[in-house]
Amino acid sequence: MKIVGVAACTVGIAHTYIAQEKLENAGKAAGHEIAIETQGTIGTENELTKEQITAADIVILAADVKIAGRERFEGKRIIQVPTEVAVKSPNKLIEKAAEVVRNK
Amino acid sequence: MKNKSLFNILFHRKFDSRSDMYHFIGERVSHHSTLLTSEVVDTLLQREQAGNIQIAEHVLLPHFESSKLKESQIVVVHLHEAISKWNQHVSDIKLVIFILLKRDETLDTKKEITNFMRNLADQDYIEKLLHADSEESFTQMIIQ
Repeated sequence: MKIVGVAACTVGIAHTYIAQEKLENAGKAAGHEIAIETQGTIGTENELTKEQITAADIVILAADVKIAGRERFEGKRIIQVPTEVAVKSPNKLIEKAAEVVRNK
Repeated sequence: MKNKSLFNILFHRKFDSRSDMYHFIGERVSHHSTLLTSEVVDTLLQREQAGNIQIAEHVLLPHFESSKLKESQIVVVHLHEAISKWNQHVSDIKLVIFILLKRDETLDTKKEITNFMRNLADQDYIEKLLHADSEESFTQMIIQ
């Protein structure tokens, strides 16, 4: 499964980066291809390409604030959660994403 | 090697409650900013209301940004005894990491903070911090 996503928190200094790291680690451990863009206090990092988004089976938005460029994901299956869900339960979130894709 | 001045490490400290710890941090911050102790405490409490600050079992990450801070700080507090009841929803806290971010901080310092944040996504690293048995080893794990 191919997963893309965005992490963005209120201050943009803490949860954004922990969420990204935890989601990428959980996704890879479960055998998926995963790329998470961060939108934080240092700007956008690991910016998703059009190709990555097009190829993705599902999009995970772990965000406490409005993200930039949400329109890029129009027509895609999206799971949106607060960053704390990605931080505290990354494995469950990846399982949930896999379940959504399986049941499409 | 990280920028040591960014980190403020308090090992094996005793605090009885959230209020006790926030007041202590508020006083420290007030010496290096134009913020009053009460303003720091209020800001930390407001941040808790805005969203869960727990990042792992036993670990909290209170943080805020302010133009009144003169310098950014990461204050890492390893507790001698767990705070059994932090608030209504959070209990048994042994490690509290405060991120105090100066508004318009330099990109280099922000990157240093975000790199440290990424380390905190590693459960093995968190476990090592929680179970550190000396100030020296605890400090080394954080600043190296």
